[in-house]
Amino acid sequence: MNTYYLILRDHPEALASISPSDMQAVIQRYVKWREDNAKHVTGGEKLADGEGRVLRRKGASLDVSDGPFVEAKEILGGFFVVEAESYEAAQRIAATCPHLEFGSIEIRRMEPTA
Amino acid sequence: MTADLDDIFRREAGRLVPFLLRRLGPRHFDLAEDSVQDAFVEAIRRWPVSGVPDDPRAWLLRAAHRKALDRLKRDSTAERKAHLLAAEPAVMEIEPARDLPDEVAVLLLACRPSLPRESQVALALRTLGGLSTPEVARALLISEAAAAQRIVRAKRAIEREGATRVSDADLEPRIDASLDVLYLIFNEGHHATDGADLVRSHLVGDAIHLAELMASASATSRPRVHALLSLMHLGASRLAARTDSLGDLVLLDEQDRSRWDPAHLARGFRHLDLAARGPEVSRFHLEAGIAAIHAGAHVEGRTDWTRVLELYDEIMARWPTPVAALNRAVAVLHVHGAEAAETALRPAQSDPSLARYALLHAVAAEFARKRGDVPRAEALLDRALGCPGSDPQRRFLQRRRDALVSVRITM
Repeated sequence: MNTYYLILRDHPEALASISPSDMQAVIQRYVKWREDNAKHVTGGEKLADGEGRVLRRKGASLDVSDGPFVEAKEILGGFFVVEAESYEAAQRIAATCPHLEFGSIEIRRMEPTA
Repeated sequence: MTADLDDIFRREAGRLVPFLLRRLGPRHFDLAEDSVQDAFVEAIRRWPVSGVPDDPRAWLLRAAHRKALDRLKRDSTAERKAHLLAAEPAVMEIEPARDLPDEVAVLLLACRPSLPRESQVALALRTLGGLSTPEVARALLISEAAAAQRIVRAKRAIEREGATRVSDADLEPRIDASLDVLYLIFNEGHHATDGADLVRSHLVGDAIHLAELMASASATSRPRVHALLSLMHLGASRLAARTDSLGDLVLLDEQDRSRWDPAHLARGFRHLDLAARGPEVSRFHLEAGIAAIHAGAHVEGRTDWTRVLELYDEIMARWPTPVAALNRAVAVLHVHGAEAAETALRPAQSDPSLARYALLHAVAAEFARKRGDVPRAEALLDRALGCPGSDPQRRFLQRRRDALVSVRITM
């Protein structure tokens, strides 16, 4: 069994204009997806929107910039952790995730420490 | 977890916007709405990935409060505004009204006398019902542009008015307006029981909830609030048993009364008792009395139409409307027969506001049929079919008309 990260990128503004009743429906679809895949999806974390720092060493000085901002085309918003046998199995789970309606999913296998 | 989430954003919008509005002051309508929307967007970005919090309502309240502070801080003139997000509700100081729920305070605010009733209703649906502007349009069967215009007009009027101290003299008319608004919202939902539109089907529960809040607060608890609650609960008890809104009046006798909801019936009778404490007799008292007779017939097996007619006579004497005249004519049918009923219906038939009201023509057709005048009944049902109405309503009318034709063949 391998551990995969489903890296979620989307546009935060895409969800900003939907009505309260429709928000309900969106959340419930994610909840159902988590329940349907409870054996495989073992975790998930959201990264805060609209803040962040990017550091780069430039010779002797440190270049620090704010970002990425929500104006960016697609930003890294969070990730799910999935236990699966193979990339194919992980992909089957990711392919049913409601997130694909709002952005992209990148699948990466975590290299075991040993 | 999923059950807790049931309709949470719409419900919480109806709670959180009044909460913020009451602490920011009525000049900050847009700020309150935008802050709640910010909190919702954060929830919808976070909950899918990191999970739904144990207490979603508390989470949303904290988030909305924080978002409002963020917006105040970003605003260049924020410093002098920041104190406005006060811990204590401060908008509607109705003494001695410390227990006034935020939703009731905002309902009274929306019901300022100078606003047209249609704007009061639209704003209440938007702010207290948690509906988006397109949903308000669907709930009221009006265009989105018209809904937006009514909401904006109401908001701007309230912002102009600013923080309000409602005097005792001003409170009574605002309570009356609030009850009218809630009854209109209830009726919009009551007419939408074919289940075609979820937005409309929430309206019955929302109107009852807001009226319960008014009844629970000492500043707004009045016998007429209980009378409206009685009327709404008794009406809601029959929702499941009804074929559709048009079959309702004509076919009350034919309904399966064992399907009436016992919980709503019990609350309806309890509020009728509470409404009777005091000398006040409102239109809602009389209408609740009529609804109670129909509900009571469920137990007794017969309807006291003579008493129903007396109550309609009183309504017509004090609050005459064409629809009340139509309802009264049905009672006349049961007490005095079809010819008297046709006479009683005539004023409603000559009222231009009901010319396109299918129910009026269907009732008139029923009177003609009872008299044995099948051709006239057919003509009237054709008129009813030519009026705007829902599909179930049209099917009901068509069945009545088909039944008439078979009567004619067998004669």
